[in-house]
Amino acid sequence: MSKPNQVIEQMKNAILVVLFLSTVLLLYFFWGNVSFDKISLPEDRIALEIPSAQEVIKPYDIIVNFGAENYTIIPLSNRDIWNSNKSGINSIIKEFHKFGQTENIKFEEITTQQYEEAMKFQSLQAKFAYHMPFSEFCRIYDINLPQSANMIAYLSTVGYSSVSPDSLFIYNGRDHKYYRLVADSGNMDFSSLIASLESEGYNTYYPISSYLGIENSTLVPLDVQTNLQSFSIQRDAYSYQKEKINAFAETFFGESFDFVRKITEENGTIIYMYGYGQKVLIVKPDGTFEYKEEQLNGAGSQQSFAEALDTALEFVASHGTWESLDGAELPAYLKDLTIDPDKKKGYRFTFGMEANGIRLFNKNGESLIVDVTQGQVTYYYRNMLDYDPQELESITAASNDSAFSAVNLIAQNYEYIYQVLKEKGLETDLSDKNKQFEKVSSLISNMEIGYLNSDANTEEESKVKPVWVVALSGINLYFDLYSAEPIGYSEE
Amino acid sequence: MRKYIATIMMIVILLFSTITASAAADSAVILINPALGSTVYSNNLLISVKITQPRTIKVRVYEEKISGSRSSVNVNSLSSVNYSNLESVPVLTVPSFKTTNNLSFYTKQINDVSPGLYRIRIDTLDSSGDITHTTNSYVIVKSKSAAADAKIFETPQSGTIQFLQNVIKTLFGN
Repeated sequence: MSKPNQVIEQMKNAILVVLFLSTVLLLYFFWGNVSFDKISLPEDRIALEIPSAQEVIKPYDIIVNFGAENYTIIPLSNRDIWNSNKSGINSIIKEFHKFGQTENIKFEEITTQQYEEAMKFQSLQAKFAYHMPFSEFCRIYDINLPQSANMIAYLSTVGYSSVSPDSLFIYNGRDHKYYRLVADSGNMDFSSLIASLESEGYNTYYPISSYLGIENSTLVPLDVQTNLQSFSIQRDAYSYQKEKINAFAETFFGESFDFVRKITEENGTIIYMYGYGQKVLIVKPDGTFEYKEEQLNGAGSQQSFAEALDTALEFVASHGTWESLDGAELPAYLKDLTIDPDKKKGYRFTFGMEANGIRLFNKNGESLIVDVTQGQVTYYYRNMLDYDPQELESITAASNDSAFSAVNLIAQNYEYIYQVLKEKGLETDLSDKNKQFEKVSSLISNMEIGYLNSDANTEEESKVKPVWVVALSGINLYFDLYSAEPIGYSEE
Repeated sequence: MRKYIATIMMIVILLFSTITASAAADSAVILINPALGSTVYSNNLLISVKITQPRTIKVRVYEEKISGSRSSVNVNSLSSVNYSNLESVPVLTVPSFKTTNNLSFYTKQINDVSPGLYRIRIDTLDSSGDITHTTNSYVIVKSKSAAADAKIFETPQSGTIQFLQNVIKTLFGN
């Protein structure tokens, strides 16, 4: 056989081999029920979108006192004031960095009275809803402080006051201690930050005591112009969406998914169980998911707060993602922190969601909960919402209207609020209406505008409503934002 | 006889003027903020009125200025003010506020108030818009306190100086 013919024959053989292998591979995919999505080179995998610790750790309130009881609370939509990487924009964290660069920082414990007196002048307070280890806070935000900073165990509030312009104030709410951090030389410029906030205009707040003449320092806005409207939501998954639920379940069991038992209860609850309960995923008819994993003794070591938070953030990203299962995004924030939950060493992270810069409140449960104990995720609760991003965006174009007066909401509803407290066994029976009003007014610990998801166990699409949220005695009461009609309540 | 009648008439006139003065205030309309006779250290003034019956009210705010020159009262030297030589200059007049509830609050903020003496007048109106009751309250507005004046974190003085201060206080009072 001539040489060219030999080459041709070799090429034919090679093509035959390739065709044969392709046939086998195709048969494997089609008959083996294997998803093409699983076939990818490592560098081709879509990067998981994981929010950073800095993105989720945000103060619940940033209170600015312009002096002589002229207050405002910075709205969530303007949180560049807390932390911003944009050049030319000043932020509290940037000022903290500047503070950390000074030499000879002195730490001293001060009294509650000294702190409260200082905050009566031009001041700023960033208040968190939880107490986090101070050293971990500094690590997350790359703030360098001297060794003596270790005297501060937890951070609940960061403050500044014009009374002591070269100082920062820290409140440790877990141990009820106040600290003043004094620098030798001043390189912070909080006064310019506050001045720029004042010049941009702001919603005025006053303490309840100023409006009602009843002792209560809780800040309430004078009047609010807003364009918030209801928008439609759906559950993360409905019980008939079996493929979606199965795909979500697979992320928990991986290669052992074929060995997982699937139990469907009469009420529609689906339970996926691996082994004798080492891993359990419960899918409830209301669209919520609950995952429990047995603690592996000695398998992992205790993580720091920052490490455990990263573990939680990555876990959610790889199990359902930080969006709804259909890809609708609601920015998350760390809403609450429990240290050593259920007497296990670790952390319980409770996450909340925001829509258009407004907090979302669920009447029935939290949005996301992750327990990280001994470096392992042992509990994961998911109650995400799906919505149409275009509908949410169209709301922002609506014209402004006046929200119902916060002060008159209290006046109009104090009897209802008092009744709720009585039903919960939190208050004794007061027949005098004046005393009921005084009692309710004195107990209010927070009033804010939010979105309420009061979805009950229905299969239909429902709505998220803009509401006033009134917090007192561990209860959140919800009122229509524009009419102040009571909608319901939930326990915190 | 004429003297007798004139005396009776004086007594009747005085009696009625006293009654008119004491019926001026509406018990269902109470000024919560600023508190009666208080001093406000701010350039904003919050007005908060508590109304405990269905009512229509009208709120007006005046600055009491020196007649003629129309200069503000010197709030740092109130004892030198000639109160019979003041004139009321309107600062705020707003539409009337009507409520049908048994408890409601009228709130209003006046921005950029300068130091001075202010009078808050609250009229209760009937269905025809006529005034049935009037309440007048005065408030002094001063500049915001300077933070530099606050001595919250000053170091305590030495024991000797503190002792001497205590002795002086004991001898001469505070």
